[in-house]
Amino acid sequence: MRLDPRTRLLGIPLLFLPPLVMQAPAYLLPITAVTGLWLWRAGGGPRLRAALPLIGVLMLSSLVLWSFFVKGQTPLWGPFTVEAVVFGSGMGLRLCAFTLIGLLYLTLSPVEETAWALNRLGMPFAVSFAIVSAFRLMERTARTAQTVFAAQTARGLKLDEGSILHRIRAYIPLMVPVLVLSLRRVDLMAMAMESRAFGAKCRRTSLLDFRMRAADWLTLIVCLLVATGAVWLRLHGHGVLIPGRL
Amino acid sequence: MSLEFRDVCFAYKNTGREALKNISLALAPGELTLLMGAAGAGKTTLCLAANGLVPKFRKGGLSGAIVVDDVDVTALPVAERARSVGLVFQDFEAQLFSTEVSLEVAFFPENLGVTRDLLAERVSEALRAVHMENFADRDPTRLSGGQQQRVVIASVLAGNPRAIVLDEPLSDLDPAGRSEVVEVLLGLVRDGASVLLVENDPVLAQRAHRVAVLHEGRLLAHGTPQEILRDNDLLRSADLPPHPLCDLFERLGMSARPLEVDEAAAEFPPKESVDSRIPSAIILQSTDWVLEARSVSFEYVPGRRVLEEVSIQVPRGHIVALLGHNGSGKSTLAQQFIRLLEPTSGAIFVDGRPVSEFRREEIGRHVGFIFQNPDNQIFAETVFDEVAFSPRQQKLSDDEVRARVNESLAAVELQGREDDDPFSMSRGERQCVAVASVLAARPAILIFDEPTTGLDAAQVKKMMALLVQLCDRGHTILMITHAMEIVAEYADEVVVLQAGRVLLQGPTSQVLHEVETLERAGLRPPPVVRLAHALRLPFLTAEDFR
Repeated sequence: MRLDPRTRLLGIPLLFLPPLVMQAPAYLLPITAVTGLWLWRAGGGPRLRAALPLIGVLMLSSLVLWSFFVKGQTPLWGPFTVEAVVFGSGMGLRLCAFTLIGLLYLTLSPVEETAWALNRLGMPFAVSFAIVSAFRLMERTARTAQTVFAAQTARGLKLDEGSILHRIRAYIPLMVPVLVLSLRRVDLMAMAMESRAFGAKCRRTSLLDFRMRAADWLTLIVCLLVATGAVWLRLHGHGVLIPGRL
Repeated sequence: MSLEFRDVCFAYKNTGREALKNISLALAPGELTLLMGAAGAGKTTLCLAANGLVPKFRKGGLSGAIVVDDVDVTALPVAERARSVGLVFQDFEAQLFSTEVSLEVAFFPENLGVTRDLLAERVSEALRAVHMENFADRDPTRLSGGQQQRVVIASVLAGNPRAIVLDEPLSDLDPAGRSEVVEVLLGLVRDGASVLLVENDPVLAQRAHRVAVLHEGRLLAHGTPQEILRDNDLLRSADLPPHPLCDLFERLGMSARPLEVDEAAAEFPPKESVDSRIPSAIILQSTDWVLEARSVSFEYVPGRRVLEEVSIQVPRGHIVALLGHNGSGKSTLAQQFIRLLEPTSGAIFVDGRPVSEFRREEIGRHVGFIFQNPDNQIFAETVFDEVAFSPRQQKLSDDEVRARVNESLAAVELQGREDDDPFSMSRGERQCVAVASVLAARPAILIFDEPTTGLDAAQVKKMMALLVQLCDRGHTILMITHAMEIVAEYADEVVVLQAGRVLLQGPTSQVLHEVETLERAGLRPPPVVRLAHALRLPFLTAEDFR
């Protein structure tokens, strides 16, 4: 059974709390693994695959960076200590869990359902529609950027040569066409929306129809319990490596 | 359900240009009216005026009246007027903003406050009308061009407007996609709708009930397709291409003006026929190939092949057309010649060398790639800077850069326009700037991706004359297209791709006469070729007949 979009909109942010309050990899690893598995089962395989390089970068950079900020007692290799590596792993896993939960929400919730939920929670439709349209436009702008990159590369564009200033200027042939094409698209989209009665003076209806059922309330209660459980554990010293630090 | 323009005039505020001059045009219910006109004739302005986007989004002075079913709707706001006039734009991608077809189609009636029970019914009806009822839960962006345009039409139909206006909805579609959309429109008019379709193809105009011709903002003519299309002088005076068969007969000095191939064939006396068919396997005579794909397969997603064992050769100094439907793999194959994509298996050769031996920044000096939309690459404030981009990337001296820019602008006949702002030029001129900017790297091989899409007849002629001129100067040209008449008139060789495989390959005169094979693949040779085929003559153009 499909959950009410309001359940997803309210419930999934609660799931951000456990990785936020935990520091120890022993706690964060299962959270990340379960979220990854859930994402995979929910049909988010392609998103997960696409996010793997980002996850790798997050893990690696976290491991390296935290070694400079966390002072440990047990030397491991060079500037690295066992304590710093463990803490860095935990923070890397936290960022991975955040990424996976975000992807899980995107996989489970089409943008129209998010707009519907925001609307039902009191946000005016024009505002909620603008928010979700921005997500759609980002996706299309990314595709436009790929095409523009291909066109300029075919003309010999080089982005990795010269000074920093030169490299920044090298992006102008990419930025200008993407900007121009995006502005045109937005203009046309605005015309297409209005010519389909967007903003007409009548009460808007929706093809989407959801009602909060027992399963929705149960899901929200479970999410709430998981979130408060994690906070309770943290307050009782579980999953903490460096007290006083988030 | 009728739509009427009564003495409509419009002048743009920023330029003062009079885009519409006293247009009076009535569209009867149950009729498809086709609106023809060259670039700048006022077609889009008239479409936007029909539902109020002019003057709301394009500021200027509008006078006259737009009347729907005898009700003057001119003063109504756009969102309210949408109940009367539905509008479909050329760019179908920009009109799709939902993640699911059914939600896309529901958007219009939702805005009109249609109750939920009725909404589901409206969505189903609209999808049935465009034969997309089995795609209700699909993501619109994953559909083909023709399917996307049909979803856009369904999304307008779902609002139950009394009249539908479509601004060049077919120009980005391949022949199969065009045919799909036209069938849908004819179905709508059979149900009593009043439809105005902007389109310049005289062959397609035959299927309309009425044809209107706009020229420089004025309504030049309005009548049946037979009346309009048989008048070559009228179409030429509006800078429109005449019907190919009428044009052929005029050139041959014959008085008849046939619109159908059978009708035309009957005008020719029976004569000894020539067998123009080609054998199934073509062996090219040339061995001097500048581009070659050997058993190339390609996958964007593992396991899903977009190209399957494709082998083609492009001979030096010729124009070769790469023909096929949207999604047949044409662009995917062409992009491998400049290393934008690497084959999953097989090999690509440029000038006899494996393309993998070229560095990416080096390949542009051998193979130039002109993308379909010039706006994908234009970024500079002046034409000079735009064209100088490639030579400057090669770190050439200022004198050499200037020489290359002058040479390239001369090739596209844009000398003296160095200081112009490319963004303020016409689409045809911007296309020429894009060509010049590629020529500045002096590549011997040029690949054009849909060089005529979005251009009017005069611009197409100019663009193709440029290609011929470049070929005469020694360039080899590979042209990706689905415009059959362009292929017939300008290509020396043709490669036809279908579903990622080579269907036909050989000289144009032979490939285009494989009429049955091409039609089975949804590609219809132009009327002059079909006439020649019916007469068993190996001709491609009106010139050949002469």
